[in-house]
Amino acid sequence: MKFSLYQEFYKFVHRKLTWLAPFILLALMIFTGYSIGYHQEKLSTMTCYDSPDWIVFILIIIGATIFSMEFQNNAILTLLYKSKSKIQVYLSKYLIIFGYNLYLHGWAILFTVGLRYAPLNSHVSWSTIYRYHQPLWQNMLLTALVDLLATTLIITLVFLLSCLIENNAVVTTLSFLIVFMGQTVSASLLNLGKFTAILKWNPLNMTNLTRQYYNYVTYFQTSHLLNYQLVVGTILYIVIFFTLGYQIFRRKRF
Amino acid sequence: MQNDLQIEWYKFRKQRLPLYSSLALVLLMIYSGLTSSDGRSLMLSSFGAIQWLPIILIAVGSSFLDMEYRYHTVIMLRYKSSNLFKSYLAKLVIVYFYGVGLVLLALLLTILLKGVFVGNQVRWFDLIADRGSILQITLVNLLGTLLYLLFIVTMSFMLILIVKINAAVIGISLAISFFGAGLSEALIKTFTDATTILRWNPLNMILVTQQLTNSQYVQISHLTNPEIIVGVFGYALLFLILGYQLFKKRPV
Repeated sequence: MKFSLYQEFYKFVHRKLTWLAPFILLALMIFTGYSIGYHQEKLSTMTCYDSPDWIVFILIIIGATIFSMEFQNNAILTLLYKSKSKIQVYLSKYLIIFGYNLYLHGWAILFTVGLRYAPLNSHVSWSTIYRYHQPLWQNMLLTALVDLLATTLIITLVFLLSCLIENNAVVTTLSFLIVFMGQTVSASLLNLGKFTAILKWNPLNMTNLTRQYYNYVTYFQTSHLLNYQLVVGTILYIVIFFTLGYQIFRRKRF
Repeated sequence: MQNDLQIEWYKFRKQRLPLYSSLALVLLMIYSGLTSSDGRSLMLSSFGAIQWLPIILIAVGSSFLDMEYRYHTVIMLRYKSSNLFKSYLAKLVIVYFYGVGLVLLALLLTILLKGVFVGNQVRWFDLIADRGSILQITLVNLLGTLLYLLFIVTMSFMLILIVKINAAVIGISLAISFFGAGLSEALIKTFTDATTILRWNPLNMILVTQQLTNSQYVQISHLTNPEIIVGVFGYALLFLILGYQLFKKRPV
């Protein structure tokens, strides 16, 4: 297992995109700072300048290429031959991306601390009481934690899709559509009025997790689920998609 | 040129992505019909096709060029063609014709789906205040989309040559499609002094699909109809030249 992890880490570290991504994240966060406006300082800090959306964007691109890279260059056979079991291959890739997810979130928090002193928004102290009667720094850290869970769900989904579909373009497009339009599709499903109690647990609804955490009032109407229910649902779907993805990976003939 | 076109058409025909994309367009239009109750806006936007066509075409265009690099057949392209620019142009033309085909498909489907989802509530020849009949507005919107697709195809070829990762190009195209207009507007609002220069930014050009029939959009884009058309053509030419230079320089 250690060797598989080292292999994946080596491959990952030698890609240019891996090192470029934090800078892209910073640029996008600065842009968000300008668009949200001068007076939304508290919301900006809590959401780390909308870094959840940008981190998901970067992770989908990296995640979609991590499998297709092996399939296209026919390196998948060597990979399977050299490792003790298939679960090691799948799990090591998953853990590396999860680690990178943590890394990006860490950068997002660091950039937020730095950007707060920039002239693009008004200054609010760290201990201002904001959502859930907690100080701002606690809000930010908990949002980052919750978002870690939400992005792990998206990564698991991307892994499942790339094992199912060979075509890189289709996997990327599907993942982006699920992330950016999942909310709308789930809302229209729930608007039909019938079977709401069952339909509200659909996986597309789980993409609302981060947005509902930092803006409870607006998003509760859309998702019909409480915060902790969304968390439980997300964890459940992570397990389901991971198992499904691994089963498909195991049975695939290369 | 004729030979290049035939070769590219053969390669394009044998791919499965264009077929899946046409299917996706049909499904998306049906989905729009199912979830929206505003019959008039459905007809005017061709059941959402105006929003989806640029995305589909960028995905198809960048995959078409990326395919050559992925399977290492670029060297064949350079060796076997008498003029490198003609083979680059042939690819562009084939993808653009696919775009034209999609626009025609969208038009046909709009007429069909209108009968199913909207019925007789709104008629094709109903007039909207000083904008013309609904049929006229829909046709001009689709024409605007055709124009914008030229910009899109040249841009997708240029992007895949710059970024080299197909997934990233598709991500960028989705971001531009959904956030582009808002981004450009935010930019112009933040730096209001530089409006005369900033209004020519490429993200602003997406508004050509709506602006030709709805003069309210002139407030958002800060460009008159002739200006925005010139802008779209200008950028298409710029992307064509830049893309070709990158194509020439890139090692096989």
